[in-house]
Amino acid sequence: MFGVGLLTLLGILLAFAALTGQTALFLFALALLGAAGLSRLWWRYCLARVEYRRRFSAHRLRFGDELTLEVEVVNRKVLPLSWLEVEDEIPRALPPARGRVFASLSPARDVLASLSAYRPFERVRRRYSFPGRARGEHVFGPVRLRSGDLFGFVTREETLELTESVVVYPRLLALSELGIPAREFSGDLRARSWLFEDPSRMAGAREYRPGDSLRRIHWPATARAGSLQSRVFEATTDRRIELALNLVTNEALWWSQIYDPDVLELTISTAATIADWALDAGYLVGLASNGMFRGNWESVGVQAARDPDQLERILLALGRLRPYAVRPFEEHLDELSRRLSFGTTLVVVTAALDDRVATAVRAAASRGHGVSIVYTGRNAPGASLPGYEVRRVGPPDLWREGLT
Amino acid sequence: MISSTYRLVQQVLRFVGEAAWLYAWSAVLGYWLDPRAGPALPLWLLGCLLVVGAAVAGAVSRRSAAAWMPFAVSLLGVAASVGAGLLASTLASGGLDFATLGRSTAGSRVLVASCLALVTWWRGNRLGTNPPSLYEIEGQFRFGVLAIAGLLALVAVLGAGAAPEAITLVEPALALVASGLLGVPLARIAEISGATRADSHQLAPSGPWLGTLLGVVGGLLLLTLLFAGVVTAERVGAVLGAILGAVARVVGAIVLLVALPFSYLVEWLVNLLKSRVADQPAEPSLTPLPPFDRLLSESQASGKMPPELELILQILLVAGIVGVIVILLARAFVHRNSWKREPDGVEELRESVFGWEAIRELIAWVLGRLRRSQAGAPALAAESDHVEPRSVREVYREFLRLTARLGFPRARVETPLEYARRIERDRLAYQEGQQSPGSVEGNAALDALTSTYVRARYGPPAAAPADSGPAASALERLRALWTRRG
Repeated sequence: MFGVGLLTLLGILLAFAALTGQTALFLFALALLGAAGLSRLWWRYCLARVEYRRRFSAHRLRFGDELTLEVEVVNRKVLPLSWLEVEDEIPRALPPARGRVFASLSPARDVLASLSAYRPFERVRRRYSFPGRARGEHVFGPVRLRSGDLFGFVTREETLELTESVVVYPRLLALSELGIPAREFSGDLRARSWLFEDPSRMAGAREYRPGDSLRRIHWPATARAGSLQSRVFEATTDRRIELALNLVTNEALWWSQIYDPDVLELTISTAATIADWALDAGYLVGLASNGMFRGNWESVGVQAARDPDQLERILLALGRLRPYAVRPFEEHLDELSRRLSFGTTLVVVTAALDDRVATAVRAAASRGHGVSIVYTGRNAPGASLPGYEVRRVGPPDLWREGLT
Repeated sequence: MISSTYRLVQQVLRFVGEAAWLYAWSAVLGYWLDPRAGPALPLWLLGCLLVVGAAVAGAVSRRSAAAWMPFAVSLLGVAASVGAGLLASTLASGGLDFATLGRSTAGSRVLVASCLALVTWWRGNRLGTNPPSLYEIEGQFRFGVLAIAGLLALVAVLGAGAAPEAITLVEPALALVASGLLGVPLARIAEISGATRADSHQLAPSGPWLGTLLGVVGGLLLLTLLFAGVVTAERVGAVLGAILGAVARVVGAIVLLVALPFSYLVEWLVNLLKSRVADQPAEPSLTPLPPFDRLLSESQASGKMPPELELILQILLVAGIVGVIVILLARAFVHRNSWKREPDGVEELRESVFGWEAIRELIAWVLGRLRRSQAGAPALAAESDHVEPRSVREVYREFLRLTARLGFPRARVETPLEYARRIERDRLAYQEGQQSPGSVEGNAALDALTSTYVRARYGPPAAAPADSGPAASALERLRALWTRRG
């Protein structure tokens, strides 16, 4: 409004009025020049000493939990702000329950906007709640602050590169919801080698053989049978499960960015559910996926462990997974089966099962690993694996059942 | 969406702005034609033409009008303008002689008034058809400024004898300024609050904002009046008298219509109560008030306010002030630190952060500015509030101000190295993942700045860095990484 031209004209008019003693013209020019000066003052200092803070109730949350975001804006100066617009970029997948939201220019991003007037030295805190209904690593920010002079003639804006991320874990379901009986894995998990035995898991009794230690003798069975009986233990040396998770939902185009969102979420939820169950059942559980984290091109893995924090570690890794694979699953499975300790049970969770994956599964089994396959694809598997039980989980939108 | 009240206020301000400059022209043109006859078009007639022109054009544009409708509106405008010109001239001269109209001053007056009425009709049409967008209102304000500035300049060039009384032009000029300074921000707020965004809520003109705006505009106009050295006390008195006179008349009417009957009622009730308590005929202890019509005639005749009325006014004034203070205090107490739900459904808490620390910072800032100006430091760059620091410690202080603004203020008990580690840990520099170049560069700059400061602040004098260049460039890198200005 008050461009150089108009200001020059007003200056000339002011001088002219002062010289000729024209009261009305002098007052008129003076009032407008005063408004221009105030406008300039506000424009210059409107965003000075304006502070912005963002606080989350948690940076990691379970699926379905509510995230609270508290945004604090402080105007720490004498000059009041007639308006201040705060635009915080948020993920489109995680919309707030309330508040002004509109589409951002960035893909898959929205803008959470608030617009308010601020008194001198005033702090305004706004509380937003975000229902955690979307797994993933959600990034908030950057923030754009926009204000202007009191009269609305000019605006000024500033972008704060203040980004923070929140991870929503995948949804945990019950094994029965996935259609997998709880005993399913214990049958499959038995290793085919009898080199090692697990003394905590007795399988039965047999006739005593020379060389059996006294501790092995099953005294109740001996009393019943009238001859020495020895205990027989299960062959599992260590109850160790490695979850091999395939992030590819499109067999032919593993390298592309095209994926089936429902299938992907079901796959990840299935892996999380199995991990939860297995840790609860006392297994050592590890995770190895051909997926990636945000800004990182390494495949994702969690060392097998059984401690109380292991579920959090696995859920965090699964929560942070991006929907893209960094390499073909068969390569990943092949390398994984080579480095796993002997007897580890591989639980392959995949939505793509073609001949190459089937070959990798057979190779893993030949290396002494028990293999169990959970198939989450939308269509029937592209390859058959005779001798292996393939448990199918679905339909793909099963993971969102019960969500309103 | 923008509420109807908001739109109404915007429209009223637009009408005031248009009427202001048109009236100024009307006053000057009328004065040139006949200094004793008043404005070419009286204010009420200007207002009527603007309103009717806006209403007709608005009604036509809202319906799918036939091609001939604009032509009809124009014809109607011409007819209304001629009618308004004749009416204004008749009122000014007390009657028109149509036989000599073409040869007399009255004829010129009719012509000028009709032309001005036609312009008024056209401006009214614009008000009716164009929505009150920011662009439209800014344009209208600019047009008004140029129109009135041109007129005043013309008057100044022609000399003192060519102008009516100063107050006749001061009032419309200041009315135009006030309407523009109030109208443009309303339009800006309407634009920002997303009148065009269907999924958004409107920013209501909040109390603080409206208060600030009205205070600043009023203060600006008042200061302009006071500041102007060429304005004499009589002129200021005339302006204030014109404003306050109208206010006083309204207040006086309210007092006469409301306060006096109310006081009679109160007195009657008191006497009634006393008679009930004493169980005897009412003996008014108060001196009975004279009848209302006598009071009124006395006050009009003497020009002084009756003492009874003065007392009532004083009581009402004190009661009003006390009531307002009590209400404000109660409201402040009730709403203190309480979360409220805003129109967009979000919970909001407002609180003051003014305290000793703010006062101390304010004083330090003022002293700093004074010191810099005394030292002849270069003026602040127009595009930034960033000051070129002179020592490593000043650079670091600048850095602390920046991080405080970003929501990471340094704790009192934190060492610079601990602070830097906390910033890195809290992902202030986290942009595109932990492995991103932005983050690495940010951390490197942060480390460089912190180590330079630690050496300058805590190291032996021999180890202190010679100049603040590296620290300043590290700060600039951080500023560029963390903030972007538009």
